[in-house]
Amino acid sequence: MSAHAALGLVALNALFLVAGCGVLFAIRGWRSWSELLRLAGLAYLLGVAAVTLIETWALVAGASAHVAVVLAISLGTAAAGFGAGAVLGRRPPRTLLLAEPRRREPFLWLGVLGAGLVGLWLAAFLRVAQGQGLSEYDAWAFWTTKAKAIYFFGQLDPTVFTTVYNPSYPILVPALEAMDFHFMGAPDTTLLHVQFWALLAGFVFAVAGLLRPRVPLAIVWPFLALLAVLPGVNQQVLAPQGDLPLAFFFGVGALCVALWLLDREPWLLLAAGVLSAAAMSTKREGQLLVAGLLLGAVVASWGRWRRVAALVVTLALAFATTIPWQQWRSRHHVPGQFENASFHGLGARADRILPATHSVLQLVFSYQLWLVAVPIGLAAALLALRRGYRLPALYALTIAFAGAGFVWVLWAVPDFSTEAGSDQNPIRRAASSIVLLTVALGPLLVAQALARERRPR
Amino acid sequence: MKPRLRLAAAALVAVTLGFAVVEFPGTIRRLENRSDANAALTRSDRLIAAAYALDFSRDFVEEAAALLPRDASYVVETGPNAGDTSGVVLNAIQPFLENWLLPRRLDRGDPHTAGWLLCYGCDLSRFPEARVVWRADPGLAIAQLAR
Repeated sequence: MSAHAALGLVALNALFLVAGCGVLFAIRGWRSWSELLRLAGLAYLLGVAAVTLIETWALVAGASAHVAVVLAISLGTAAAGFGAGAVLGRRPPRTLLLAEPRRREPFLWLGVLGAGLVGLWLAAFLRVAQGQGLSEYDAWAFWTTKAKAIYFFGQLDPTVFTTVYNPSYPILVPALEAMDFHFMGAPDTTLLHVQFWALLAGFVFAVAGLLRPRVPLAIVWPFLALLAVLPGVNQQVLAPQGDLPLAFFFGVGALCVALWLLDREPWLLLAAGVLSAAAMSTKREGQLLVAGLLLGAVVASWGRWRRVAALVVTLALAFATTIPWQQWRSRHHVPGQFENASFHGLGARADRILPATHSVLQLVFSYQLWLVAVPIGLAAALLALRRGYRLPALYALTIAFAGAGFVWVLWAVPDFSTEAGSDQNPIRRAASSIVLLTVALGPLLVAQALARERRPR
Repeated sequence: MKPRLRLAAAALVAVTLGFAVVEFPGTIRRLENRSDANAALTRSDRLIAAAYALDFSRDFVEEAAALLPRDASYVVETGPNAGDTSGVVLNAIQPFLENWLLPRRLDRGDPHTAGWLLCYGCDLSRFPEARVVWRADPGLAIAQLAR
């Protein structure tokens, strides 16, 4: 690892943070610098999402991922965000800390213990990431191949992008990796793993920062500490491919939707829109997951039709951001993997429904991969149900709809194995999105169950 | 009923943290082992980690990168002459080389139109125009194709 390459990677991620701060300033602003610090994880993920999405459009339009292009996109995003915030009357705060009444933090030591475990885990993972070789099959079979092709050929070279494995996959992750290579000065597939560590750290701090005003530390950090010990997360998180980035964008986006249902702050819905757009441009499963989230949120908002309309419009706009890549695919005759998922084809493969359902259930509830994460989430939803149905409905129905989508994938694509243990079963990795959704929403559900009932006046 | 609900919710947090605390030492130990295993490899070994994972010839992939010019085009031909190399490995060689050898271009069309032939157990007699520049047992060869 050369110092130049490492500095380049740090510089790119700093640009993501600056761009994300611009987005956050436009949609929300901040009342103190400590509040910005609390939301820095969210700002970072928003920056990654916004800059990389725009880069994918630039690639489709024939541009490259050179340093100058990425500088223009990220600084342009930041400038547009700060400019829009200024027009909306937001001003930089003059205070470091807000003068807020002291909050009660019961069992603070539990939160400190959980945060300590997460901190040690992130430090240990950073050490692994710095020296990790590119050994994951999909990572070298097509994810980094696409990124290196963007790096070397300066564009979406059709001879590579129409023939490489899985040519129909969205290109957000290859675009991100190509930007990394340009900032490193070489396609360093070892140091590249640090980028995926940074996304993990962004997810952890985004969840902690978003939950902080509502949920005591003693609830937030135990869930994040559980994330640290999940075998499936530890196996997949550094792999330079789309599965965990999808789970990060989806998990934090879903948390923004959940908080929006509770707080009705419009900025949360806008943040969810940006993150959902990134999720849908990361992997095709992103569209299934966001559709599941939309359906869950519609049921959770039942009767509040203006909210439902806002939600539908936001997520439809998020879906629209994937159109440029779909047009490129169509222009270059790149078929999708679901081309033969016609009603006739599905009928002919009806014998796959039961094994597919069994496989999805096995993988989502797999103790070997996820310990008891999802059962804990469902138990929390059950307890929270006694205080109100909206949040538990959002969580449980999103999982149910996403799970049904996964069953459809296994049913529709005969190339996929319905064996839970097979490498040809994509749900093994896709289930991580449901698990990270649980880590993000679990604390909120527990806090709802623990909330004291308001006495009638 | 409500105190019981709060108690159950608190128990859920305790279970969550309990799992984290119990599993944490093993998780960190596994990460340290991964870190040590990474440190034991040289930088060039890490770049061809897949070759180690799938156990195909490191010499072959390194020689291919050394011999083919950066603007070369090549074909990858596999076959049964590569000793006891498994079908899984033979299927993996092409996508690995496509990644490893960029910016050299993998030619998926007519094998005789490419500039180079990377033969992993293939039948070399199908390429009479091939000029072998590197050869190793079992059945591995890198050859320039006369155009």
